[in-house]
Amino acid sequence: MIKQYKILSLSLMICFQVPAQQADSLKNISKHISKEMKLNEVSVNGFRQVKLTTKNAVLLTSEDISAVGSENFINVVDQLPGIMKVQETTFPLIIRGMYGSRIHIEKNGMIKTGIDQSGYALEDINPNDVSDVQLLHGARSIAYGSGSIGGVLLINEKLSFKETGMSGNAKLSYGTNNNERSADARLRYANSANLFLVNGRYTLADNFHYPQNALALNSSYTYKNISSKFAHLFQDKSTVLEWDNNYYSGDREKPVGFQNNPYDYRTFFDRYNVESSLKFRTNLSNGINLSSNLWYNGLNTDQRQDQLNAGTKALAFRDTRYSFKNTGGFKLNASKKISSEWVGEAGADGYVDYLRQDQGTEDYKHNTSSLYKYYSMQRQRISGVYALAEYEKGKNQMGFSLRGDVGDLQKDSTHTKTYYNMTGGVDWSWKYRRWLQNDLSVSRHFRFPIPMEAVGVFYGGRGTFVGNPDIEPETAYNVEWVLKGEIPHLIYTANAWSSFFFNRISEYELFTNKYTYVNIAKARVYGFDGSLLAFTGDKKQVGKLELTVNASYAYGDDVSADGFLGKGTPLEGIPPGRIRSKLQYFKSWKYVEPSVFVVFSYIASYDRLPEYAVTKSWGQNARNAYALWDAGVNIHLPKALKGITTSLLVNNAFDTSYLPYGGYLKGIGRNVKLTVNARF
Amino acid sequence: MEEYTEELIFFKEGSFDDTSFYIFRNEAGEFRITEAANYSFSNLQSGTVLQARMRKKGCAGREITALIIKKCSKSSL
Repeated sequence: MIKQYKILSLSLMICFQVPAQQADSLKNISKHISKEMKLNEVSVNGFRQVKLTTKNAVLLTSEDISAVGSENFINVVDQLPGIMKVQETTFPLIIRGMYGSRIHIEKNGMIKTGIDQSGYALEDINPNDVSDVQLLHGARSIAYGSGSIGGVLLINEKLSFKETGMSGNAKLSYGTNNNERSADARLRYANSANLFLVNGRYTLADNFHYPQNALALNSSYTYKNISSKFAHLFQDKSTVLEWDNNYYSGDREKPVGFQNNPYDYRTFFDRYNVESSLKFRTNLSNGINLSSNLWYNGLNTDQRQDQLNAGTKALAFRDTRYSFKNTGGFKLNASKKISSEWVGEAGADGYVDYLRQDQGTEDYKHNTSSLYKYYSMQRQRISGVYALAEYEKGKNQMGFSLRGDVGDLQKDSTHTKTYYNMTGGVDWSWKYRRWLQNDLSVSRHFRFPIPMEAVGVFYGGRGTFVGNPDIEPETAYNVEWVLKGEIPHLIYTANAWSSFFFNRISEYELFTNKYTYVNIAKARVYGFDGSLLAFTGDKKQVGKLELTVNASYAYGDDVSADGFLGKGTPLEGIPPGRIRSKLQYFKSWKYVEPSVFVVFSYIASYDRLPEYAVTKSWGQNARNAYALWDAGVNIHLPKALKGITTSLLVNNAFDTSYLPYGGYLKGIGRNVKLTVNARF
Repeated sequence: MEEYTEELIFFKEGSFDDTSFYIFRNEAGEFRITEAANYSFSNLQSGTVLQARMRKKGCAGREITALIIKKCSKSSL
């Protein structure tokens, strides 16, 4: 059986990395931190890869996920460094100022893209289904293919046969701001060879409130999920077959005025979102660890736009966009420890993605209607092969990666485009002392144009987007420098990063409500992620006090005219910086383990905009800096069943009125959320 | 409003929604697009070099405000 190699430990919402061996020897690190440090293997094909060490990776554990206390998964990943939430109800996921196909998201080894170019909003994910989230940068992230420029986000479900018998959890929660009611139950049965798991969630929420109790019209949502997992562990104890399924449906309203139009009522009906993946892993006799993943994701989201008559407030016009997307893929991966110093990994993957769009309009004012005003089918296929190697000796560790990709796009059987790309990277890590480790990484990343950018036509809320068939793939050279280390009671990380773009794909307005895409010759995005964890005391005696501070800043410039070292002009949509600190106190008695915490977030002002009009629906208005306070108390009863946790979380505790980055509307007002989670 | 000049090479003509466009590229390979109806060129050929007055606009940043043919392509001579 393949050995578990030395692996680099990751931490949760604090962005530090320290080797597991060190963590074990650090007596004053609390038990829960040590536990988190063992969760350090990179997920490949949805399986934990207990081999290659990873650089530039951060992790959210299941404890972090439940601590956020949100049914909307994008609020969970908003805890990771470099990720910035745009606005409460209508935001894509942004990592280091990049979104859409500039970032790569996988859930359980499946590539998730969302319906349109603004990216995947993670609306179909039940937080209770997720065991951890990993965010990768650097040479290791090359293995995941197109879209790794901003980072690779891996959303994982843990598979373990260790706990046998029946178990599960039941969770109920209530939020005061929008009457959010949520019920979630998970049942798991396992014996030494088989595992069966089923999980369901039902969440309902009314319109939310802005500060001072002002109602946000048309802002309710529902989420319904049911997921299952069947897994079989073969007699050799290393071969696993796993079949995961997830079904989601729901609807999401956009608050009135989200695009500065007070007569626009927008609703997304997520009719269905079905995922299925069949995964296989085995260890061959020659020491090769083999894994594969065959997956499918099909979804149907209808967007309904109701325009009210400004005078009478009667419905004047209804436009419905029907979007169907079918995506499927296959991945194969093999890894082996070649010698005491070298580890190798190679893999191949491919996926195909079909998007079909129809539109229906009903004009009540003129009493006309049209169904299927247009029809469009767009297809994207990408496949690639990659190889990774890692060398570790003494205080030095090096990682090398290389990947080749071919992709093609097609629209309605007539327009096609084919692209090729080679990427690769080198990581070097040097550990001087426990208090100073130095990581350097240089890697080349790419993204192929998506159909709407090159061959397709996409009918979005802002207008029509027509592809530019001459557009080139975008490439970026990423350089990262990480300093990290630990001394008693303190762990720190400082990460300075930059992306130098060639042929950056950018939106271009042809004329009113008609857009296309062009390449910008040169652009640069750069920034800083830093974190600090300070702790003292002991949970069982006087109690433990912990302070975490995270900071993320990003800047972006179009430097086509000035060169990479020139001044440049601001790129659109790069979010402002944020500092978030959390002060938490834990105490542990035999039957009760309480903790209290306060979170302070400061979001810097958003004032670096392009000089002239920006066409994005978000990020086009300057915003003032603001500060938010959250607080919470958790009571954990470890001896009741297998643990009952009651938590009370207050978001925006002072009901602060603020305009978030990217939004026309104010942020959500105070919300008090009560959650009871019982494990059995 | 800051304006500057740029040398552009005519790439091709395109159309969308019954609107025709001239598509150009600059030395760095970047696209520049303008509505054909704004100009009355009769001898534009692929490779024709033009002098353009530019200004900043939107996300992609540039808009053509004036165009003068500087050098015709060999094929049009």
